[in-house]
Amino acid sequence: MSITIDTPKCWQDVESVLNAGIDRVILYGPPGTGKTYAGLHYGNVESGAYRIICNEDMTSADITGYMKPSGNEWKWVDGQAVKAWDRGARVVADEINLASGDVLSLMLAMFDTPESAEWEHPETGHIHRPQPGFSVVMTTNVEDMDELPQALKDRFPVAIRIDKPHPSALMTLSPDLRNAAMASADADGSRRFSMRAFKAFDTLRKSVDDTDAARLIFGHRSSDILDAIRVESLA
Amino acid sequence: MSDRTAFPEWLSRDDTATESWVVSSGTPQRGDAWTDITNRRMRVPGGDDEVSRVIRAHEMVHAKVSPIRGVPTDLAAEVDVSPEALVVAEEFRVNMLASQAGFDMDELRDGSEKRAGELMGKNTAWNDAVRAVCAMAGTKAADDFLRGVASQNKEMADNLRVVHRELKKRWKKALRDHDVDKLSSTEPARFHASVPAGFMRFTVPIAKYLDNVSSCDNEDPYASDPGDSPIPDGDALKGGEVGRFAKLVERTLPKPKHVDGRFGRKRKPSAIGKHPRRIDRMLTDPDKRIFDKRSKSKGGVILIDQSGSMSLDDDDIWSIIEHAPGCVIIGYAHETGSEGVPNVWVLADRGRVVDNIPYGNSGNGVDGPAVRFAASKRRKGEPFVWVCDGIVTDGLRDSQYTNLDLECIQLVRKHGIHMVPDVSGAVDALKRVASGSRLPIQYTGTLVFRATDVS
Repeated sequence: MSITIDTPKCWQDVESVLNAGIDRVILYGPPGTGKTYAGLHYGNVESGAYRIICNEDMTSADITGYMKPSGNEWKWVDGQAVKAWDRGARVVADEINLASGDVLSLMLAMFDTPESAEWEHPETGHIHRPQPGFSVVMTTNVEDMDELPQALKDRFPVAIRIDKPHPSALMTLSPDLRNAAMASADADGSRRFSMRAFKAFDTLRKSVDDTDAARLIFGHRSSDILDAIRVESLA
Repeated sequence: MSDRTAFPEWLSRDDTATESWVVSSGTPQRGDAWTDITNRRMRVPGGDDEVSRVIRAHEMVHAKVSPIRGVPTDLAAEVDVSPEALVVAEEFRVNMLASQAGFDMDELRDGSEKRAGELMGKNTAWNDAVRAVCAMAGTKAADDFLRGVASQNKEMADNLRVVHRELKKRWKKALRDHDVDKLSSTEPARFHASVPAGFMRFTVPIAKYLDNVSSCDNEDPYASDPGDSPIPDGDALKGGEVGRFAKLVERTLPKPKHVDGRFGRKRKPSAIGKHPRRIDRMLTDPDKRIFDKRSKSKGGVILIDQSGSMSLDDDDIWSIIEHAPGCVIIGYAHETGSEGVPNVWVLADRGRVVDNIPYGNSGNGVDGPAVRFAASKRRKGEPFVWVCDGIVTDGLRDSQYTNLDLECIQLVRKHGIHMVPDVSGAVDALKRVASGSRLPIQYTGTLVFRATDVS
């Protein structure tokens, strides 16, 4: 069977939006479909892309910067958002909904429109503004956009649900796993397996047999998955 | 509690995109599991046992290779096979493919098979049994089923074993001629894009074989029925060399002419006479009609084979009609390989006669159904004359088959038919009837020898 995978609609939308220069985009949906990868690589990322992984314990230092000891003195280190501002680059903010209240407020300010956004360097007093080309791609695993704060949604005019892995990611898998990875990404509950699981299985089975590889990656589902692979081998 | 499941979303097809599925948990009972490819829903047993596992495999193979919308009825009509045969032939393909994928399909049984075999054997339900054997072919369930049939009907079981062996042989041959990839291919079939190529390649020919070895078509009231048609013999079953008559399609003709006359004699009870032939009526008949009264009958049935081999012209047919006033006279001939082309017509119906005789088609093809049709027009005790050279053929190729000969012999016996080979024979027979003689059962052509063989 020849393996050709058409680009799913969600990924066509992502490419259209980013190539058109839309600079605030939310990608949401099941984990392991390549949302972060897309944020880091698709559209205009010539000036680089800076990743922020949000969690409850993060502070504004990760966003704007912090003082760091260097020998006998302290030096200022820019945060990811300020770096991206100054270079006209992209910020990829993963799981922004997990950020604490004050960090979220700061990010809302940083991700505001270029006309409204500004930040004063605490050391130099220099006023930073986002340079042309600055863009933000936010990713989250929430399934319902209503779970996100309204202020956040307002700053991101485009939200695309990513329910399929990107074909280029699928093509890195062995042919017999590609369709399974495609369909499993958006399956329900215990039927869902991420691209990471497929990649790990694909890698592992090159050095151990399929049974052990499946047991290590898919746990108690391994027997059923091996049966499916047997049936898939028919054509 | 075990929560084993199937993963049909891991399967790819050439004729549809891979999507997520909803899989529910059921039991390993026959008939409880199913697959709905269109809506991507499946029900499979969730047990950790081997039976549950092979049922899951069976359903996954359906999801992998079967037609998306099930067995299309329009396809069945187009390729001239019954939908029932297509369904069980697909079960056979699925089981064989699952076996190829490494599953032990011998485990695919739930214990009900032997009992089902006993019931079918007891009722001589040949067609149902053929389909059951096909659905279970290649698994131990088929052996259980055949044992059940054998306990009630050894002859039928022996013949079913021939069918079973033939099915397995055909699978092996298909594997040699093609390969597993081609037999499980879901590329759209070349001339029937609604079904996968693998289905057309294997399932359809198997369904045709099943139809050939089956002996009845329930939708056609004049088609072969098991009572008339003996179970095909072993040689025929092996090759699938079993002919089938075409479906009867009646052409209604206007009958503007009217003829009158009497034909044949029949005896009726009478209270007056010389020789008491019905002495039992002394006790049973209030009118004590113990004598016979002879009266001329108006009717009878004449069935005329108008196929090419009979070389009958209009004058011949008119000659028969004139010698059989008041009879039902029916002509028949089938256009070989056709469907829907009229192949039976009533030329005269108890005094009303056509003014133009239609040309016959080229072949016989519909002999058995025509005999049944004619028999349905006959009244009790009336003579039945069949003008036919004794060469009865199938509807598809106009070829002779043993099973069709045997079927016609059974019909001749059952209905007391007097066969004559040509017009002169028919006229002679009609004259004998007119003089009051009874016509004996008589065969013509090939049927003479066949009848001798089976008597």
